[in-house]
Amino acid sequence: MAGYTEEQLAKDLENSEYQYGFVSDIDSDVVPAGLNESVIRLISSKKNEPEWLLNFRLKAFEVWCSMEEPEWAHVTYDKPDFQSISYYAAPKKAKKYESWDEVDPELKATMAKLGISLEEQQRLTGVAVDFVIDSVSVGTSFKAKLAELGIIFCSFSEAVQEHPELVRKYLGTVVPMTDNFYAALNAAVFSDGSFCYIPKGVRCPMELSTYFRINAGGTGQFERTLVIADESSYVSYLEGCTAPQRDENQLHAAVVELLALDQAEIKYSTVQNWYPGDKDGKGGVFNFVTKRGLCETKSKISWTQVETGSAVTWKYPSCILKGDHSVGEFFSVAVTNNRQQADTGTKMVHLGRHTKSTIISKGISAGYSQNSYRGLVQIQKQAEHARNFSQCDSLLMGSVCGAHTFPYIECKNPSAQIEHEATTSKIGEDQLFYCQQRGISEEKAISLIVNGYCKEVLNQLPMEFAVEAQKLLSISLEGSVG
Amino acid sequence: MTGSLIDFCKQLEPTSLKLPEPLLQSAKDGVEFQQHFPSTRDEAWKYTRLGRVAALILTPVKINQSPERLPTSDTIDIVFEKETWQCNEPLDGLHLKFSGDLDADAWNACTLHGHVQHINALTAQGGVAIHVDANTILTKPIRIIHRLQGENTAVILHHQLVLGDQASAQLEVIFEGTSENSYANVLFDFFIGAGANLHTDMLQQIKGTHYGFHTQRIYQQKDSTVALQTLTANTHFTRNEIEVFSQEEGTHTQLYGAFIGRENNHIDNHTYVHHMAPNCTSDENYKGVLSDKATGVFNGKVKVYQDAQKINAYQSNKNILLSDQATINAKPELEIYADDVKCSHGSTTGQLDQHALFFLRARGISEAKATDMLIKGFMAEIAGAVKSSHIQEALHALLD
Repeated sequence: MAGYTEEQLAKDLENSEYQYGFVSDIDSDVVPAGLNESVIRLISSKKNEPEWLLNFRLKAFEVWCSMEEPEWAHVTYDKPDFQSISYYAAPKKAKKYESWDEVDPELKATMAKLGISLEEQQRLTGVAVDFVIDSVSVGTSFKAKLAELGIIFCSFSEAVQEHPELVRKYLGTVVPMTDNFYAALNAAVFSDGSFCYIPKGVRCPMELSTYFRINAGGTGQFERTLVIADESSYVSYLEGCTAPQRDENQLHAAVVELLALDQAEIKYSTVQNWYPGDKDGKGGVFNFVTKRGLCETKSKISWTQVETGSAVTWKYPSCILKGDHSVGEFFSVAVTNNRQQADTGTKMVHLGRHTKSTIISKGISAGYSQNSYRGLVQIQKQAEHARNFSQCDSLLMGSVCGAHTFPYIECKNPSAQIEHEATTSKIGEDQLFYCQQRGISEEKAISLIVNGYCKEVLNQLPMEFAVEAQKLLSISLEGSVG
Repeated sequence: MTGSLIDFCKQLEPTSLKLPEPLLQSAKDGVEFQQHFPSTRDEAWKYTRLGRVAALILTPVKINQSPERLPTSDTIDIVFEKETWQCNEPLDGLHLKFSGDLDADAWNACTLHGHVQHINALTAQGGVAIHVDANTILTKPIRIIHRLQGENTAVILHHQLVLGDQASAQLEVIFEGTSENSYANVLFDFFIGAGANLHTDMLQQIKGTHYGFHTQRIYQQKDSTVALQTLTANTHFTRNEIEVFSQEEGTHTQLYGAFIGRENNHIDNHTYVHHMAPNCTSDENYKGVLSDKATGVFNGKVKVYQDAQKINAYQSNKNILLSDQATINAKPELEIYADDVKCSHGSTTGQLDQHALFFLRARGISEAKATDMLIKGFMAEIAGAVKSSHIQEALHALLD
């Protein structure tokens, strides 16, 4: 946070309207709206997919048709009309690039605006980026260097063509298509996403990153991410999201599957900043995401998320602690302002012996927003000596917002030790007074206190993300005081 | 007549209570809506299955007042046994009535919520209505005893307690006896006047395959205080639902509970505190000990309404599992719409502290005895809040 000064913060606060709200004028290849078997066949054929994958999609579609949209989340919204969404939108020239130089300049400009210019990233930070626009991957950097180590990091459709055995083996093993309504929808229509495979014993030397962006109007984004860390490997994976400012609601239903084989470690960080809608709750992205990781023996999966965007968020990054001595972690900061609604949390399912999980969740609600934590800690019969610690704190700013906590604790083994604590409060008047007395303005004091409150989680983020997250926090909460 | 609960809902109308028509209608709609019995897909019944209850073939017990009075004692006794209820001489300022004799106005302030309350509204066979005049401080505790017995019976009661402004009372509620394949649905409405004070201790200890549903609805007015202790021990199936409506400023509510489950007991505690007014406090503390194949459920909800600022709500739930087959499902919830509040909850689940056990055994105390001592210590907080000596003795006997 060294380079980020108060002056910069003040500047950021001034233009704190959603700064990623531009639309890029990129020629898109959009499939007509509507969902039926022929659309799925069309998507599949456009991507030149093998038959097993088409069957997978059709099966998922069949399952989806028999499912109903879930109602249990503490959010209210107008249900999306699934027949008025286009399920495939790709920048037209996507497939043609041979090298970075050939990329559409308009697209390059988009990336630059987002502050993730691939060139710059390559040169300065050494982060490998996969850029996904309207759910089709358009460029992956650092491929050659990663290939030397045997690491596969590419778009999902590339993986289907080049490594079908891996995709076929692992696709849908962590999040089956029957898991829930949106996972089934995603399995039927997913258009692209990222694929990552770390071979045995390899420690990925750089952070891998995917940037998602919804661009075309009237489309949904359905990407699928599959990360496989083979035995004793390590990878840190980042994910960022933005969308243009539109009056209609856009749907984002992604699936992320992580597999940590024996003694592997995966660190998955997300900074989610989809367009949250305007002050009156018009427009914004519906973010209905299924994220889950499977831990084998002595492996570890760590989820870190900073959620500031989306009109409605419905997201529970989870860990299935299948192997003995495996570890699951969940660190989350969820900020809601104006009319945003978030129902987010995690699931820790303990199956193996001596499994451990930690949940740290910080919710901040301001304006008219509703922010809920919903988490499940489940200790199965055979999970001897399982250990869980959960802490979920909520901070309320303003008298018309809401903060809710719905933890589920299910224990079937007496040797398990489970602790859960939750608090809800507002920013202490004494803390504010202390800061103001020392000449710090109210707004700055609040930003200071909020950052301190989130520090536990922000510390888990890689450096570049931590700075971005901190900026996002201040911007999201701007004007919510008083 | 004999039949299932659903048959009663259809045929026992009108109930022996004179409930206002809108209330009855909403109960009817509720039962229809849930297609008679909620499934585990229903959030409120996620951990409790009602299949066995739905299949029970029952005979409802009609309640009549016995003309004889009980002898006077240290307590005001109200006893429900078989098909009668009787009481002893009330004190000044205390009025006892059959709740079927109340007119419809007496039920106007009620709200209906959920399956258990709907069934009760449609099928209640009476109950006792206790009225304590304003500014009366009862010198003797009131004791309501339910002695359940027989097979395939359905005891469905709706009690009411109205505490006038500035009044104060102590209540003991006891469920005892042995009953097979039977059902009980007993609902209490507590209307607590301004500045009034109520202390209630409840003991549920029924042997046999008995399915007990207990509801307490508490409506609190300005500056009133309520303390409710619920102890459930070794019952085959119990569902407790406590709803508190803190309607005016300055109230304090204390909900304590202990549940002890053995064999294949299923004990389910649901509490729901509605903080509708500012400057109120609530304190909740539930502890459970489960052995054999017992299952425990705890679901505590605190809802703070938008204008209810300066609320201080605390909720704690601690559980000990003593066997491999015991299960606990805990769900402490907070739903908060006001910002100037202090709300927290904590929940822990584990086994007895091995170091503490070792400490005692190193001093020559047998494992069984040491376990008992530790559990007694664990429950001491709840036992200490119980005022009724009768219930306290029963609790000690259970833990020994």
